[in-house]
Amino acid sequence: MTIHGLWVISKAGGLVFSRSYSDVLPPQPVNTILTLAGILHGIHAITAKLDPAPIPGTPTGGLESFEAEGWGGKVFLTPTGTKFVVLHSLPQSGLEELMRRIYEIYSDAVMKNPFHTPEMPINSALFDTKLQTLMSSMNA
Amino acid sequence: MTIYSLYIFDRHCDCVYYQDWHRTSPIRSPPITNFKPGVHRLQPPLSLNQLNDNQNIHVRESIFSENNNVINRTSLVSNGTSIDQNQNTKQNKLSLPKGLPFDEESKLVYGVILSLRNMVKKLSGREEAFTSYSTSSYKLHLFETPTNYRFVLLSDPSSDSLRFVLRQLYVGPFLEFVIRNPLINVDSRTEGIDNDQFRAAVDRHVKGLSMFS
Amino acid sequence: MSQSIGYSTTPPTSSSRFSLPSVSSLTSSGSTSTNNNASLYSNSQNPSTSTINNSNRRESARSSIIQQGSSSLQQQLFGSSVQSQGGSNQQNQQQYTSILDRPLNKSKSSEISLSCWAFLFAEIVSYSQSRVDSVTDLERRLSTLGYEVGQRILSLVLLRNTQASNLKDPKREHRLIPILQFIHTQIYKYVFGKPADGLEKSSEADDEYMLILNESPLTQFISVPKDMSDLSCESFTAGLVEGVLDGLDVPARVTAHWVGDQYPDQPQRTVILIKLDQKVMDREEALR
Repeated sequence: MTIHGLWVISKAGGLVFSRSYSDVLPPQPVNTILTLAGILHGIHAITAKLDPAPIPGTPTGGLESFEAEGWGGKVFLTPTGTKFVVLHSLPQSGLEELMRRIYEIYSDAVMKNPFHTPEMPINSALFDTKLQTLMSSMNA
Repeated sequence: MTIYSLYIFDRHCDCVYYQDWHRTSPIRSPPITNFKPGVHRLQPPLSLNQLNDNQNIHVRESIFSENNNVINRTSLVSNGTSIDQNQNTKQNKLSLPKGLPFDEESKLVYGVILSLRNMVKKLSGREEAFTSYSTSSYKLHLFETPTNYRFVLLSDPSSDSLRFVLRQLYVGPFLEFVIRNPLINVDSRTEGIDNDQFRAAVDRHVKGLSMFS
Repeated sequence: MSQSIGYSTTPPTSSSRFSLPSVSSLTSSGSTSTNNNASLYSNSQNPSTSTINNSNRRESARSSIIQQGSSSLQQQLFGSSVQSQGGSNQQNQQQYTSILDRPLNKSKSSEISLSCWAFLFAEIVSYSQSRVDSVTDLERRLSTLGYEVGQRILSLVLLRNTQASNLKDPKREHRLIPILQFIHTQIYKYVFGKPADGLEKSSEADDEYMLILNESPLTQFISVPKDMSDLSCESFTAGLVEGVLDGLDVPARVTAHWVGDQYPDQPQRTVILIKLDQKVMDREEALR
């Protein structure tokens, strides 16, 4: 499995971080990704509404993953509303574990950084390097 | 393993066919202004019934007793507010079941498909559509025909790719009973493609699947 | 903060160090304390009242007030588990249920969660940042906070060393090099769980020493934005070291410098630069 890219989407639907880790998917201008992240945020909300068999009393979850030809995306929603979107190759395995690792790195390098403002773009060299290490090990 | 529902959209982005099996979330008939015949077998809105009686507009009626079951189940889910719906439909228009009207729901489904499709296309830089997406409670499979019909199937999230089912439905019942049926106006914007034989064939096919239970 | 706190030349006896009535007798108001419940607060304050000679009467007064209030508060919060005797009683084999109930002299298992500390420190930094105009001011603020911590840690570590080695009186270094080694190993080990990665003497100046830590647990999650690149949040550690040195009567100016850019293997390497006061150098010369 190859990891093509990672986005972090804030609670309000704004893109706060995006990196590409392979050249399989063509590079996109930041503005495009910004728009796409907003769209994904909207899709996430609507997909939760379309649940054909909701269990009464439990909240319905939104989009968790999507698949195209040869690649796919995985959405991880934290309890606080931040979304991690990983674009990956198919077939995939171990994505759950990867998501947990990313969440861990995020809590360490972003949330514990006093210079990070919540909901604002992530500007942490530590976050970047730690992710780079993780992704290189995944893509190796 | 189970199958929830099937939508078919035509190239005008309209839903032309709808059928459901195990869905429990309520859905109600669209309001009279947006009612399009030949798409689904939901109970037609009240005023349309009256119109039918009075003006004898042709609307295809259900041949499936199951169709009524759907509505009964729907009524149960909506906390009994519409238990009496079947008896009182003519009198009490307010006791409609909860849930989205059909036209809005199909628009949402199509909207999600379209935006996700565009996103995937943009990201990959190629002319390709997504094949499926899943949430914690269901999985949506998409199959596009070269003529821009979009077949959409909702199943439970653990199922494998069901695109082959949609393809089978396309080359089987769809070609047989819709395309080869001279009485179906395939490019109509005012009518769906529903007919008894097609519906029966789709039903038979889906119910014959191993994951249908 | 610049005033150094003298170290007690007449070591207190162990009874005066730990018995509660003597603590309350220092204060005018706290003398009515009759309950014998030892609280964490009173334990932690007692050594400081006894080992640090002056300027701490206020401290001890506070300690007895806290101790009075806390006994009931602790009982409310933690139930009947607060039945321990004085902190000096090492035969206390009671099963402690809460971190606050653990005796102060047991250094093992008295660790706190790194995440907890990291979040707290992040808040400390961002709070301080909102109240300063410049990087220098921010470093000074952090240093001041660290200084306070350093003073208290010194007392605590000395106390534990005394008890661990069954000494009657606290052992205290007075020569410069042993003092620096004491910080390098014991203080760093207590604060960070491991000794510093290096203690070096500056090749340029005789009165400059450097403590090196390759990766500080304190600031490992912090990445400083580019526009503040000369900021080092390790100023807190620098302040801490300054506080300890001051407590040992070695006045010095301590600053933190990030040198990770020169060491690609250790991107977080930080040097704590200790510039000693001339007074210290003179004394060293005299003791030679």
